[in-house]
Amino acid sequence: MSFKEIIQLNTQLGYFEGQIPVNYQYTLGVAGNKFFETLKQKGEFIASICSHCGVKTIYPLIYCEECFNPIETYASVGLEGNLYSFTKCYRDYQGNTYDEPHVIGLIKFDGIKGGIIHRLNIDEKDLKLGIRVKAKLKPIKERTGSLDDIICFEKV
Amino acid sequence: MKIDNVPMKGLSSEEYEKALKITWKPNLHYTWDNGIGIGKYLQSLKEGKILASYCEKCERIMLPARAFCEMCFRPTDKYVPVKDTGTVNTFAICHVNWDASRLKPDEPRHIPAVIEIDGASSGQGIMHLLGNVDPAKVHIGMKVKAVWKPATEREGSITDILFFEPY
Repeated sequence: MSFKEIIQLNTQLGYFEGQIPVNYQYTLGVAGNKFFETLKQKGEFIASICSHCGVKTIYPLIYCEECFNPIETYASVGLEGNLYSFTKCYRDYQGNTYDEPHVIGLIKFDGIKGGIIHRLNIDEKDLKLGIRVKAKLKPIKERTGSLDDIICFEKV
Repeated sequence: MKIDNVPMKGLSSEEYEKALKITWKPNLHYTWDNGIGIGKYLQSLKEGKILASYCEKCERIMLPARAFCEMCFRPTDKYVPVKDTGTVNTFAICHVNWDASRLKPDEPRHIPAVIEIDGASSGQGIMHLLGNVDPAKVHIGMKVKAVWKPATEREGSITDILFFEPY
């Protein structure tokens, strides 16, 4: 029995459904907090600058990934960058279909390591690698200090 | 700069309130397939019976029923019904709910227990709740009997047995 048994009626299949109630809060950390506070209050991006090897990074870090030197210097890089890569998304992360496909891009900044991935609002004909893009932010009153303070990136 | 010189400390409640953070609730919805052995066991609960499985080689009656014997890795040979009475093997008196919220003083305590079921091999049993009993009087070796849901309300789940009570 057992291993040789076969369930032939799908009404005999038994299962249990459940939902594991988990929720969490993730703090952005020292440098992350600085980045999003600056974005919220001043409306600009900041990069961390390593005083030892000079590498600039976005999102900012509290230590250098290249030389492990602690970082204390941060500098504004404005809101403009270059489109490094992009893709079209037809579904959200749970598999639901979007009404309109979302265009997502990786934006890099001149001479800076790393980048920001965000929504793009650019006409199909203008969508090319390397074009200059600028972040469109929410009005200062509506900003909460999160990535959603950026509405999208648009062609300059 | 050495790592010892890098200031490291946890956030105070005040600092935590001020810190920017991401709040998220992941969707952890799941469907768990009963399988053959446990499926039969749960189906038998709906009929008001407790089903075990028997291994001819090890001469063991295993509870809950399962598809293979974990001692000799052979498929089990047959299903055998066992009684709905048993003996408390171990127990706990819980003053908190499953989500760690405190029970109020007047609420009855939860008493989860491992119950060795009569008719199954020694040590074979299930975990369930004890009820209709003064927590102070629960002891290891106590004889208990299943209290079933009314037949019409049973759905093939372990909760078809409401709890075990002393008899």
